[in-house]
Amino acid sequence: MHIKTYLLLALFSGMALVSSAQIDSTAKGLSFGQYLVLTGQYHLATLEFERLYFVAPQMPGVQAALVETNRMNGSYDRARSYAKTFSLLPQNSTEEIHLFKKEMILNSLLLRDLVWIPSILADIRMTAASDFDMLRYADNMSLGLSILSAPNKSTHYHLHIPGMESQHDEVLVQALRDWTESPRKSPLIAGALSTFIPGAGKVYAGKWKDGLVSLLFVGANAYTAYRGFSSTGIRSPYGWLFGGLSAGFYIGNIYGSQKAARIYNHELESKIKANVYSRLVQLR
Amino acid sequence: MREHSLRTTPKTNHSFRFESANEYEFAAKFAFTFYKRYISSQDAISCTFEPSCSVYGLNAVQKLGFFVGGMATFDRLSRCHGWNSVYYQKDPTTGLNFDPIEHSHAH
Repeated sequence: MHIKTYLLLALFSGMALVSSAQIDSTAKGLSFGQYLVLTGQYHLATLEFERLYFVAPQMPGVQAALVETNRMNGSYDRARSYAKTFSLLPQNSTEEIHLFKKEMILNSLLLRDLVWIPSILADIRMTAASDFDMLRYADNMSLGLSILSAPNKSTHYHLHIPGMESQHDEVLVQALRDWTESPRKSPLIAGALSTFIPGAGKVYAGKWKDGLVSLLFVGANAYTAYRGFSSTGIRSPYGWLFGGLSAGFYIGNIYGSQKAARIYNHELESKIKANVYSRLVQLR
Repeated sequence: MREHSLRTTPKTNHSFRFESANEYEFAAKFAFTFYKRYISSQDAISCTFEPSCSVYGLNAVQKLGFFVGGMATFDRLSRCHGWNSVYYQKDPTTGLNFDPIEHSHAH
């Protein structure tokens, strides 16, 4: 009888020891993973958190750490895939699901794959009706996306969130203002200006140095042609040679002026979009 | 047979390709290639751009045709001066202003 009691006690003690050892191992694993992140060893950190997720999938913080370390390691596709999986788990809380949806959006931005984001934002708006922070996040993200995907300056964004006063991010609002209010250069006007005064179109497009040199090129060649024709008449080889060069530079300058206006517009819009993109990546 | 070169700066050796849409394009391509091979090769690098104006002209005529390519080449020649470094990104290998035909006609 006593032997059986001792055996049972030994069995329970052994089970308790094994269980505490596992808890101790996972807790230490989490600390070790955090140490790897702090020391910048992101690849090893992803491996450690993957191991922890396999051992204890419901351990607090391990899912979020797995997504974050994959993102820090540059594995955006993998991070997005994990975030999508975790956002669908019914045992996760609403806050955790929102966190994973934000991670899906962030990783999509980092992958420059914007197609996914509107559907995730629509999902957030449906599920986070009373979470003002999430709604504001979704609203700011929509504002940024509307600028990033804008084909031209005629795009306008309509600010509305049902049931709450919207407060948009200042950087994004300023970018929207820049997008809609910054004057663009008209290629037609640039070409027309260069038709009347060679180089004027390039000055209009913001490249006054190119405009000045173009005026000198056309003017010097035209003057040399004029001198040739006026000294030896219509058969002057100098006249025809420099007249031809002058005409070439004149037409080339009209062509180049409208191109300079297009490049000006493209650079302006690219700069605004780069600001918006970097701001969207920072949004939390 | 070994070839010896007296050039101190490397320059791209462009071989002439005879495929052309018409006689004008053939003449323009021949002129650019002749200049590149027999005149420009005797001098140090003086163009401020990468690719150089003659290579740009050759590519412009090949990609845009004789008339549009010709206009682009005259425009490029008038942009080739010492004040233009503020307008362009630098080519990492040569340090010259980077302006290929694909870049300036992508807009």
